[in-house]
Amino acid sequence: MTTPLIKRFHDWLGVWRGPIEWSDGRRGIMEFTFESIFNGQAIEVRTVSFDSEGAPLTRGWGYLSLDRNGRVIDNIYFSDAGFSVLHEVADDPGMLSLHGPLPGNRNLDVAMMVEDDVLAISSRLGEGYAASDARPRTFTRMRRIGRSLAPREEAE
Amino acid sequence: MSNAMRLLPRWYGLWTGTSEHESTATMSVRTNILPVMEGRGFAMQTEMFDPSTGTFLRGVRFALAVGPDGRVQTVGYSTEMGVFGLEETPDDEDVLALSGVTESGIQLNVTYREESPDTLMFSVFWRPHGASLGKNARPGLFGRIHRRQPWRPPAPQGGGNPV
Repeated sequence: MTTPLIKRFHDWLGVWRGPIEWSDGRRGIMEFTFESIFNGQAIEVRTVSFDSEGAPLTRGWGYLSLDRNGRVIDNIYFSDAGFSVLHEVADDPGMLSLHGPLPGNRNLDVAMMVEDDVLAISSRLGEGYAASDARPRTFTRMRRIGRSLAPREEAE
Repeated sequence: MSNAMRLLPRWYGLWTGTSEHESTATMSVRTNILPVMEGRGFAMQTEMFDPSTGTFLRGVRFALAVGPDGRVQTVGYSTEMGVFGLEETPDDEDVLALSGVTESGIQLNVTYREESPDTLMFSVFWRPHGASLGKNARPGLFGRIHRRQPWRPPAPQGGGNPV
């Protein structure tokens, strides 16, 4: 039986890779893996970015699931940001927008979308309560490089 | 060095055994402990199932890493508790102890103790955050798992077509 989580994110499952840009001018390759776990109750998210020679730049790990209200909750670790629990905030249909706190009075916004088999992700680090366009950002557009990681019955 | 960073590398591999839950019969347990994030973190993947039918009953997965502030923490998901984040707490040298509050407000305490090089005992306590543990508190989940095979790198995944 397909869970509401997998019904919404089935097209995201698999391995994605593409160029990533940081607002400070760094560039690299980002790879995201979305894997359905526990019969579709959650999605394990694994990330790594690396430079042109393959040396790792950042790493990440997380779990996507739905809260009691059916909104996405994302428990994450990023090596350059730390640990956080992100909650879904309202956005356009098809867009997953998440917001959550980070240690040290910082916060993180992430927006993700899959369209035409491209996974686009942008993130923005914030500090304090001041809004500023100078906040560190990342942007990546990834294409699918691996098969869907949904169990067979979930993919049907 | 924290207990987690010292103990987990020697616990890599597949462990199996049984566990007792406060409200269910004995369950079979399979736990896989492996390095992740190029060896900068560890993952623990546990599934519990009915020993007679193999039916999946409960599962928990978490990754453990050192945060930018130097603390050892986890990012995890449990079919029973939902998402959770735990932090390593001091304990005896042969114990991995983790503690934290889940998103749903449950205080969670997890310990893995090395009973022998090939046997781990684990216990999980949970209670509403702020409630006392109580004098005669018993673990909500208790189990013993045995090493089944040494860890080795997983086989490459098929179907990938790196650009």
